[in-house]
Amino acid sequence: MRPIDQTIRRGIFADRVFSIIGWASLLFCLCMLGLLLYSLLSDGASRLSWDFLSSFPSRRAAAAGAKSALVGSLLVMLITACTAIPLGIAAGVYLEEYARKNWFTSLIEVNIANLAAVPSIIYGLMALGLLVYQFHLGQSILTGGITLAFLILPIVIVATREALRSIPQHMREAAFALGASRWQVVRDHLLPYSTGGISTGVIIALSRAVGETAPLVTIGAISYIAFLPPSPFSERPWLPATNAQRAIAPNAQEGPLASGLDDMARPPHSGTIEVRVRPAQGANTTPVTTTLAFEPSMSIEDLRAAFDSVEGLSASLTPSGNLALAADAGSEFSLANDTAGLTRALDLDKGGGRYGPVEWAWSPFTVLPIQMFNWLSRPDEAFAKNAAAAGLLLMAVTLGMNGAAIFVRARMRRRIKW
Amino acid sequence: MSQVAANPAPGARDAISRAARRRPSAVLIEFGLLLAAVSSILITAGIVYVLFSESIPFFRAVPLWEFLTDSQWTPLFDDKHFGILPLVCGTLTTTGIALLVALPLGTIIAIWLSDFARPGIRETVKPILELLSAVPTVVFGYFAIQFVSPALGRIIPDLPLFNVLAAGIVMGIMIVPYISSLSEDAMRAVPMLLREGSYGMGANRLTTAIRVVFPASLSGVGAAYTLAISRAVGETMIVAIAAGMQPTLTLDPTSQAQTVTAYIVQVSMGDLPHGSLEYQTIFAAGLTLFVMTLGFNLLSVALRRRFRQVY
Repeated sequence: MRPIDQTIRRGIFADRVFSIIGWASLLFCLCMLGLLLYSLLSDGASRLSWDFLSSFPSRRAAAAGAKSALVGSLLVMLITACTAIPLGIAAGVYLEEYARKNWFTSLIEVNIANLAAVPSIIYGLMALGLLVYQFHLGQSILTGGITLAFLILPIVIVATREALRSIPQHMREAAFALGASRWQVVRDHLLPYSTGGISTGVIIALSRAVGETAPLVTIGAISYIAFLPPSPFSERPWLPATNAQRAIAPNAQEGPLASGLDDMARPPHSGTIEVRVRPAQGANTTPVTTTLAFEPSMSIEDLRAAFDSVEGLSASLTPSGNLALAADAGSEFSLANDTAGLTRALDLDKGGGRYGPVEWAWSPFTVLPIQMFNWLSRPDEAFAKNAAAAGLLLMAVTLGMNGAAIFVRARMRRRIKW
Repeated sequence: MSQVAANPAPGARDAISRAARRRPSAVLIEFGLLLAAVSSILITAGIVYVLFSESIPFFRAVPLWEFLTDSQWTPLFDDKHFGILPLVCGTLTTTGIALLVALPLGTIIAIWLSDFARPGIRETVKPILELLSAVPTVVFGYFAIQFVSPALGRIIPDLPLFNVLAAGIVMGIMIVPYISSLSEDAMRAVPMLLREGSYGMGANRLTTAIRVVFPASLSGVGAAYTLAISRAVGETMIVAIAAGMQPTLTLDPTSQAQTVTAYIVQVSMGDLPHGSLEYQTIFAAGLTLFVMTLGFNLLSVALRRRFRQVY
């Protein structure tokens, strides 16, 4: 048998060695985080400028910017937040405060736990099959936002439940004793007390959604967008001839990534569309309205022929296979009462807009991570700098949001004493 | 006096009974909240429905046996082969490398944080480490292709720019916080009594951590491991950017390989018409991925049942 002091010395030595190994492992991970930031900064810092933030993507790396990606990310997050936050909080409140203990409740609970482990790209496939092809929402901001909302729903639900669970039972009992109904207890007491916990969870969930790429690639977010979605405040009832070219094929400037349009270029269902053409002689001339009928079986060439037959309007196919409409010089045209769903399928800018102030939600889009992926997958090394700059923006947003969440959590812990 | 208390005034009694009856608005609110909770089940149903309904036409054209055994995956070429094995192989290789990096690192950090680090250090280090899992995966992809892969190329001669090794290592670093954070929670939940018992028997910290705390927290640690595996199997952007786009049936980490997820991305970026057989391959690939992660999850539930310890 070994003498006892030798055993003790060996034990202490082993502890010291492991302590060093632990420090080393931790430092290794932190170094990786540091190296990641360093490589982003050294490549991308020089590209970060106001020009980069305010320019559309371009074929020349030095002129390319992230404007459409920034706006796209913002709008997608708006839809995601508006969907996931109410839905997640409501579901969390139900499960924690209302649900009885039965098989159905436990089914929902097991289901939420499983959803959290489903790979994000699977959500993209689901959205592609369901939202794009079954519900005909298109490859739009709306589809992208809802997809990400589904993805982060489990996080919001779990955060809500944990925040509610941390409120002591006697708070509820006191309110019930004073005659409050269950909903009054939830609305006037539980939700206000758990705001901190819920908002921490929501911020972390949204920061995950901001950086999410795979599901949006799967639903077909286009990575080359050189225009902004229609603003809810602008009214463009008429398209002048000079604008028409851009109007029909907004992403016609680059071929391969605008693809998929050929398939989408068919009318989704049969119906009619009104084409109004206003001749050139001043604003008070009466427009001529022509009604065209469409069938899903029509090819893009049939569509072109149909539009071309309208007096004062010429239709052509661009080299990249997109349909372009143009009014004769000086005159203007607009499309209305589109029961064929054609304007949406073709990404047409239809002047008045079919969905009014929320027209932007049906617009095709790109987001920051997809823009970064696009730049990264180009062979030209100059685009890697753009990717690094986009990566810096992304890191700033996600790390900022996580920092905010940590801050909120810390403040909450200090303030609340039951 | 007691008479009065037992019989409240008629008006008050009405008010109480009115309040006690469930108002229609209360029922409506509860129903609305229920709908929100049920939406999570609808999402699952939607996933299963889409994956199966879009895969069934594919499996009518390509027999399941061929899908599972053919050693080539070339649906986009003229000579079409639909064998999922090369893609699954790519996924398993990248996942394997990621786990080789993440399991030791994550476990060591978890043990160190729970039983060795001072509380102050633990409270500062944990959130910083969790930032690592907040980094968008596309940024990790950038790191893999612009930094790690060239750096590895200096050590290993003839390493192609796109390789499984770099993607796997970066993926491993990404999942370290999942393992360390969840495992540390599980280890801290082990009662102090067990540790004190061990110390009392003369064991040192390391022996206590490995022989007492680790086995006692095995169910939680196992859950952390399986979550990490699911993340690695489903990870998309790192492998799509850094591992290459060539489906090859190989386990060689220094070569290119395509994973299931990277294939789905590749097809989604292309212009295949909706409804074609080539297009349906992504749903068949997605179904494969779903089955793989579901398998790991069920395994984790079984493990948790097996190793659960109640104090």
